[in-house]
This record gives sequence, structure tokens and C-alpha cells, in this order.
Amino acid sequence: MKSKENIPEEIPGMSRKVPFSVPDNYFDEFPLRMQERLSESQTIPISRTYPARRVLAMAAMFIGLVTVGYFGLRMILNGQDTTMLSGDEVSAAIEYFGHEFDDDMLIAAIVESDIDLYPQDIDDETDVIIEFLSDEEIDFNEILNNY
Amino acid sequence: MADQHDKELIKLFRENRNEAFNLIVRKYQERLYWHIRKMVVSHDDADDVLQNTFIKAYQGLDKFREDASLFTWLYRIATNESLTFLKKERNRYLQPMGEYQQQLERTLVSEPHFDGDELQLKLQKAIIRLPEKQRLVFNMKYFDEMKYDDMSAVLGTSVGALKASYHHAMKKIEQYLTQD
Repeated sequence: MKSKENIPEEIPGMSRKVPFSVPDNYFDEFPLRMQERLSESQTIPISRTYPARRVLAMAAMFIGLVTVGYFGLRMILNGQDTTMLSGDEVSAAIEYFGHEFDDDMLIAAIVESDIDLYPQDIDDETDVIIEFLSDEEIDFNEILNNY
Repeated sequence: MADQHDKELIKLFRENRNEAFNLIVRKYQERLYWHIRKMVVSHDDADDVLQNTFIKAYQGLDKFREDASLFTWLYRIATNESLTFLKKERNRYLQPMGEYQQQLERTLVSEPHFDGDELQLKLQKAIIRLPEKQRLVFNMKYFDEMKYDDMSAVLGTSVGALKASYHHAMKKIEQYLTQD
């Protein structure tokens, strides 16, 4: 039996019924769809952002060094015109270095990269950056304005 | 505390993963779905989040410690997945919270699988305007009639804080409903 404090007071005239419905047979079919999805995920190891994590981690190790040492690298190259870092390289570096990435480096890397900041079609690499900023509670617009 | 049937399912999972997991999905899909749906509003999004919830559960069930109930554990994953989804959606379009709430409200109004009356629509609009954590607490308490102790186990928040949160949510909702 529920104790009194565990029964929430009802809003007058307001049903506790959830006013949503599902398509016909949704719950009958869901377990099968789930099984299919699990079989796929067993044959192809999934990662939220990268399918080939190990390969990318290796690439990121190199790319990350380039990114983290971004300004230094430019100096070493004595003002030669450097190739723009691609969004993939930047996002791989973020993925690899995680918390070691400081804000200045991040902003520099994003601004100097070819990432579309307001893309029509969001792709995985943009997702990674957005997720990173979000996890770090960094306001994307604010840091760009300050940069 | 874990119920006996869940213990058997977990034991079976160690012997026959797919069969056991199918039983777990069948047992908990509806409760988890409605928990997620109340947060993300759209059926299609709820379907995606529910699938992700079960994928995470499948991947983590080997490490599941039976000192919590299976349902509490699943509920916690579903909660985290729902919040992550909302956060990601908000950040995808770089929207401040207020604008994202308006977007959720538009989703609610255009949702084909909404079968409530006008009052229920108004209640849902009021709920959408709450901060996400308060929305969670309100839904779990008002619709699911969950005990505060159980909510505390899922959300990792003290019972006192949950009561305060529910109280504030209720006040805001009443205020919204009595406007006009």
C-alpha cells in the first residue's frame, strides 16, 4: 500500500493518463526490431561517433599533436601557407585529447578549420564537436564572439 | 532489491544472451518507452532513444551489479539517454533552452500520436516549460506515481531535493494552467 506522502496530489480536472499513443502493433514489433538492431551492432562494432575507433585514434595521435601545437607549428613552418585542418582532423583530435584540449586551442582549431559552423546537414564530425562543447558546458556562440 | 524473475533473467543472460535480452525487452519496453516519450514528446524520437537505451543495457548487462533492481538500472539508462538526446538536439541547432522548449511545444502540437483533450494539451505545454530535471521529477511522480525513494535511486538525488523539485514544478504548472 502506498504511503500518503507517495501519492501526489492531483491537478483538479486533470487526468493522470499520458495523452500520447503509439502506432498500431508498435510494442508487438519492437522486440524483433531490437533483436535485428542488436545483431547489426554485434557484427559491426559500433561507436557513437566513429566506426573505426582504433585506426582513428592512431590518426588522431598525429593530428592531435598538430592541432595542439597549432600556433607553434605555424611558427616552425616560417609563415608557409599551411593547409587547412579538415573538420574530421579537428574532431578526431578533440576525441583523442578530450579534456586536455583548452578553450583557446579549441577555438583556434575550429575557426581555422573548414567546419561549417551553421551547417544545413549535420554530420558526425560536427556532432563530435558539438557534443564535446556541450559536455564541457562551453557556449559555442560566446566563445566564437570572444575569439 | 532485485526481484526473483529479474535475477533469473540476468542469470539466463549469462548463458544465452539473445534469448534473455529479448525477454528483458518484452518485460520493460512499455514502461521505459512511456518514461522516454514524456521527455522527448515525439514518438519517432522516443523510439530512437528506447533503442539506444536497450543497446546500452545490452552492452552493460555483464557488469550489472545486482544490488540495484534491473528496472531501476534500466530506468536510469533511459533517463540519461533522454537527457542526452535533448541536450544534443538543443546543441545541434545551438538553441538556448527557451527556444528549444518552444520547439518541443511545436512538436507536441504537430505530433500525430497525441490523443489527449485540450486540457491535457495545456498540461503537457506547462510540463514542457519546466527545466528538464524538474520535468523528469514531475513526470515520474505525477504520471508514474513513483515513490520518492525509487526516484532517488534512479536520479541520484536526495528525497528532500526531489520533494522540493516536485513542489516547485507543481506550483509552476498550476500557475500556467490558471493563466488566461
